[in-house]
Amino acid sequence: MNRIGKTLLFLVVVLAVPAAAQQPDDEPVSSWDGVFTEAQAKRGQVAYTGPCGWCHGRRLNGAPDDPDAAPSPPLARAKFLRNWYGKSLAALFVYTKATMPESNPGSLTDQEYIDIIAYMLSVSGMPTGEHELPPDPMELARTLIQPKPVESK
Amino acid sequence: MSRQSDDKQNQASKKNKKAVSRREFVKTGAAAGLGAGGLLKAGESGARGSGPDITWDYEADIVIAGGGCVGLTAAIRARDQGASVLVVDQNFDLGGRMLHSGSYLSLGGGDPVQKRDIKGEADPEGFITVPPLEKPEELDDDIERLFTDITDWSVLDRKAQAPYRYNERELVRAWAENCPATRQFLMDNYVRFSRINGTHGGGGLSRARAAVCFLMLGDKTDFKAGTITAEDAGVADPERTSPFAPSQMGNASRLVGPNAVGGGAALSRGLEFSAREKGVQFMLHRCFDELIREEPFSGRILGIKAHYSPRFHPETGERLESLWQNGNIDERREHLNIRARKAVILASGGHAGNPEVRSMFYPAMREPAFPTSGDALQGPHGQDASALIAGLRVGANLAGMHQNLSYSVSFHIATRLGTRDAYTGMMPGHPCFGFRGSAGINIGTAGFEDLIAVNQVGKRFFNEVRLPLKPALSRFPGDGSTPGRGVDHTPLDWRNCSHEWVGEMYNYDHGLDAALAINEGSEPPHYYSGPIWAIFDADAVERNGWEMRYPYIADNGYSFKADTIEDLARKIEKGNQYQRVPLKYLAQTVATWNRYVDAGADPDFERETDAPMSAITRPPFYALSIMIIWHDSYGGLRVNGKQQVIDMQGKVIPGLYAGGEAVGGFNKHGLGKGHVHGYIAGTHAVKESVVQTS
Repeated sequence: MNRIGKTLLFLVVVLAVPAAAQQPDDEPVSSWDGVFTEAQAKRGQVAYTGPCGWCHGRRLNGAPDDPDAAPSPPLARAKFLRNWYGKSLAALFVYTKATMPESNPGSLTDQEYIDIIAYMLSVSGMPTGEHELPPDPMELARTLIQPKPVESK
Repeated sequence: MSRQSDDKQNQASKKNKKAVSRREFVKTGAAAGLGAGGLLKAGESGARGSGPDITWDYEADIVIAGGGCVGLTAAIRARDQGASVLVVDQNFDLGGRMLHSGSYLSLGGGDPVQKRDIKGEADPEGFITVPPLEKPEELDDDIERLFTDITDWSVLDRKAQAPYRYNERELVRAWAENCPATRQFLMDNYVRFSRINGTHGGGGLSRARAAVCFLMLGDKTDFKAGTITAEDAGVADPERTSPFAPSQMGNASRLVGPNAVGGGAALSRGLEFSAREKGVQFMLHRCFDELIREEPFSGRILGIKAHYSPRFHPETGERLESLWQNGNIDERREHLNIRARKAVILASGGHAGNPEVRSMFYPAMREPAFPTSGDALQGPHGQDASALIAGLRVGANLAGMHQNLSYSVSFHIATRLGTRDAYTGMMPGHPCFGFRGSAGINIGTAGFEDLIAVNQVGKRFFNEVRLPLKPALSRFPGDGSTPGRGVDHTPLDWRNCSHEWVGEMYNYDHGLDAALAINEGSEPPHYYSGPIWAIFDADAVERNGWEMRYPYIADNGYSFKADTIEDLARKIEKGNQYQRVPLKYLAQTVATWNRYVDAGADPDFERETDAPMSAITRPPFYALSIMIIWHDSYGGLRVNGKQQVIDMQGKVIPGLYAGGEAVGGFNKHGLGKGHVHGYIAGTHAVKESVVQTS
């Protein structure tokens, strides 16, 4: 199976199958468990500016810096997280790659896409860790976007 | 702009012509009429008007009121054909609102950029390295299609209003026919267009037509080379803008390639550079007041009256000066009569900054608390309806006066809070920032989940989550086309406005109307609704990462902070000039809201259906202004396909042209309208015969 086929297969599987139905050895990991590094988020911030920032704004809140540009969905914080609760980072990665930037979907490298996602999670307040998020939906499938744990307040 | 590039600009201009000052006006200019300046200080030649007994202070072939997108384009076009041109502008610098715009230019009709992108070609300088963003079929356009699009009776926006149905056909036809030539004209005058990406606000649905204007980041700002420094572009520091670009330019790499920045300055400064280079002359700080006609309601237009309207720095008190000086006439007399040997072109904008005029469309918008966009940049005379008022005084007719209501986002609630001038990204560094005082915090629509909005008496009035939502632009059924995306639809088809389709697509929430409603603080005769305020607490700040500091907020009457809600209400009442009554219900409103949060339901506005609700309990408490912005205006002077102003009898007013927001009968948002109008007006105005003087 080629890379595109593999990606689409995962899109279907990841979006259709609830997290609880995954294999035991795929014990879910929370996105709040330090799943990306600070360096990766910083790379993502740089990569974000051109393809994403024009529409989603520098605060990632969907407010373009140019007021004459149309608003867009937020890419960080409460509303964004609410939209993705329970879904995996694989789903987010595949969705982003398949649809963004709107004018030219798939035009970034896989590494840029996952770095930008790390940046989105970072702005959402998630802690950094020792390992980077990999640009591979197979590996990202275990990591779920979840509400902020109460104890980490 | 850097010193080096500024010098280069000046040197280029000196080569072209000798700079003209008040003392250096050439007396030979009148006879030649077409010289480098061709402009005459008329008092030195004794010229007098042929009708009323007027002593002229200055004269030129073409006199243009307003140096924005219409005026600069018309000026260059007229100058290219040999006319002497004088532009007067009420502001200290040129560009109008074009200067801080996003530079979206929807033209079309098979214009050169559409054709370039169809072929997949780069620009002549090779800056564009990204492939076309639209499929060839989305760009395959022609004048007939464009004309059809902008007069399509069947198209509705998602507010169920018809944007194009009421457009003047002759005006739109001429516009469509001149779109390709205008695009090329702009490109020939230092304007560089990105790849086309969709269509911006009202450019019709059938094809992709919008590109933005760009420059490339480099070591110096140089329009001939197409480069700009990071400092001038405003990208060197996220909290600074420059005198060159009052709004920070955006990263345009996805539309052009690495190191490209886009925005209004790339358009406006390019045209200004060209105009100055070609010998157009400018009289800034000069506000157009009246037209001078041979007889009050008959005969030719002979010139204009204009008064001195200096703008001074709010902190230093020094007069503000334009970025570039070459071609400027430093004239400070209070009143001037300026003769137009051939024609006057009205390019001074619309009426969105004049609450009295805009109230004819929406009486609640007589409320002066709410400005137009570009309030700080343009000052008190920006968008003041000067062209409309002056035209009426000489017998001009009006057109499209209802069309303010058929562009869905003309007036809307801004998501940038804590500043009166809420429709710009201007930061410290631009000389007008002092008028603004604070940059505001753009919380986006998502941010409205974390606040309550109250009116001038401190009462909630709407579901805050839906308050800032703008109705989306026009839609065809079928493929659900968004502007510039999707070609599988049928123009001029009754199904486009069937009630079934309207019911499906309608998405207007009317929050703005609730914000403007009469409340307990409204008093006759105007029944002003008063300011509206976002109220939130320290937890909301923490959750959203809002930067509650300068330059985003300041002690300027648009943001307040207190340890109690009662104190917050007192500070608002004392600190904001439009807060005419106490917010006597604010504490009670917050207490009630917190009870609703505890109960998980908002019986007043059912907010729980849209988003989780958060209590307002942890001090400090904050209040930031929420602004209703009347952005662009529609409805104005009636003009024909040559941009000639038409009188109440349907006849041309000789020697008078107008374009952009000064005219009515053309509902199409933005710069694409204004530039083509300027191009047409400049083309035809120079063909007028010279008015003989007595």
